Amino acid sequence: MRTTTVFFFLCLALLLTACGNEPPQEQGQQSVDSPDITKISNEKLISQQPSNKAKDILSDYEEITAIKSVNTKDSLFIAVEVEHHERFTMSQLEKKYKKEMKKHFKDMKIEFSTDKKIVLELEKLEQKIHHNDISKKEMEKKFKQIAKLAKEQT
Amino acid sequence: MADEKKKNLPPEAQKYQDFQSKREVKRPLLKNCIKAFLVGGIICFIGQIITTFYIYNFKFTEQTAGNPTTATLIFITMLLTGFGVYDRIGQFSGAGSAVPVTGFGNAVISSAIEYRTEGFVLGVGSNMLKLAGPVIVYGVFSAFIVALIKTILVQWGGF
Repeated sequence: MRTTTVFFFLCLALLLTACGNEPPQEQGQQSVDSPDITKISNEKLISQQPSNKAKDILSDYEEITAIKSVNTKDSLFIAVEVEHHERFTMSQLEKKYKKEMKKHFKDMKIEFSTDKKIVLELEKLEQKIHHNDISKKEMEKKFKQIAKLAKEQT
Repeated sequence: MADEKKKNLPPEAQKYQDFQSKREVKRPLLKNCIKAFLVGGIICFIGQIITTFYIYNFKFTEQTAGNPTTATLIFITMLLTGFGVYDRIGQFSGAGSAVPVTGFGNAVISSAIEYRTEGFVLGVGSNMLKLAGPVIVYGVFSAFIVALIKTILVQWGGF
């Protein structure tokens, strides 16, 4: 009986200390108004100016933790990650961001996603564009592939 | 309703029921709930790990990773049922192991194993879905009803 009580308190102590230490670190890491964005620039390929502008606009929203965005000549692809508890109202948030983006980029076709996979794929593409690892044709092909992936239902 | 039923019984039976209800061992309801919660949670956690694995390593989005995850979980359940491990998990956690999709897999596979001795067609074939059949029937039926209600609301209500 005594050993179990001791064990219980040990576990409790471990649990409490573990929980007590972590949150401040995490908060410090993602200080409220600086989501995970990297602005990319590449003169040889298509200018990524619209993407950077979209990142600037969306980074004003506090609940967004990461924004990945790539554009071709006439379309813009944005993927965002929101804070986990905000996912309950995901569909409303998505509508809100989409509307906002459409307001700013009237002459571009906008694709918007909150899917983890799309965030990962766009991040890869962003890196490639940033390091000049990809040709214009390849980039457009990859862009189309990601857009297709985002539309898959089953 | 229970009281009404009791009144219709002969006095000896009533007496016996009182006697019995006093001595009955009470079910540890809270303990069972916690067990079910934990085991069910662990199963879902494993499912989430598999989903994340598929998203990171294959061409699946959050939307499409659900199907292969279900298939993988059912495959794991098949092995566990065959080796007799899932029965013990079920005994320990009750609904915690029956409600996730693994419980459905277990229901199909265990009856397939049970009726194996009666042959493949009349044994396995006809008895495999004995337990899981109703789940499919009521699942499909209630989905139909909900879809019907939604369609009516959208078409006429304009929601």
